[in-house]
Amino acid sequence: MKEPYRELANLDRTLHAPPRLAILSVLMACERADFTFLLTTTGLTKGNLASNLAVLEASGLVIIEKETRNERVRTTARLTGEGQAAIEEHWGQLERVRAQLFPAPAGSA
Amino acid sequence: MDALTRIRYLTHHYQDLQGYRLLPFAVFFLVGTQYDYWAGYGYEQWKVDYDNTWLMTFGIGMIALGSIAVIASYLIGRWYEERYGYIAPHPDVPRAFPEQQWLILVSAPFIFGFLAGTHDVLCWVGLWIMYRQVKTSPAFVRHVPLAVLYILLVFTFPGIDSGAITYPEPGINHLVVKNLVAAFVLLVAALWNHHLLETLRAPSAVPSEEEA
Repeated sequence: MKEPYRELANLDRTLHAPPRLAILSVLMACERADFTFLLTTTGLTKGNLASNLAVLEASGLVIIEKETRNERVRTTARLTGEGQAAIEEHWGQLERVRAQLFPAPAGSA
Repeated sequence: MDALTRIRYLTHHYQDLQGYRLLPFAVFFLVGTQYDYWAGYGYEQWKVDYDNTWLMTFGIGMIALGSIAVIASYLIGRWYEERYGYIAPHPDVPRAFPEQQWLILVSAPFIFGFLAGTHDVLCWVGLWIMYRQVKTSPAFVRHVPLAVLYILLVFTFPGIDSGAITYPEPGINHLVVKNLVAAFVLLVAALWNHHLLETLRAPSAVPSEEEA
């Protein structure tokens, strides 16, 4: 098997599943986000979002917290240090695979 | 725009996209138009009989209006949180202006206004700064620079006669036009930003793991 395809096959499924990749991409762009914002941005259903967040929390990539704001309990999620490193490494891995499979034409920036 | 770019853009600019928060300020300027007619009329009267009651009433009216606008904008922010959710912005996302630039931007028009003997430029610069600030500050009610700016606007609009800043004598019409333009700019910005938020929120659901 060629190297890029091997790398593709070895991608971490915990991270690479589309719903989780979307959740992690949101959390990567902010300090923390609540459940409603994750629903707004990812378009997942409530059940799907909750189950995928549980997977990410169990993997130690995300911390889920309850906080009271404006007299309402709000569920927020944020990346752990491990989660931050993992998602950055994952995107780097995807970029490397893309560069190997679809190299930029000579002379292009 | 691919999904990742959309998600990143929406998350980075979520505070900016809460366009309806600008609406109370548009109303503030629109109502200010009517006030300016009154103020200009009051000024003409004041020159004759030195009765400055109108100035006090006008100042209090503008402060009350502005306060209502700030509170309404804060409540609209709460509505956005309920409807679209809440995020704590990333600390690395840059603000519109670092603090030292703020100091220059707020003090420069004051100095210019004193030298030029007009307060009109203060209103324009103030409006621009306020627009930038409201767009970039997540909790602007508690943000000190906006409070400074608000005071600046309140003091420049009625045209306090301090001896250096004078109310422009024939300037009722151009003040009205200025206020109308300000209200229109804020209105367009409010509608456009909200429209962008609606456009960017999850247009197509991300496929579940089973579907992927």
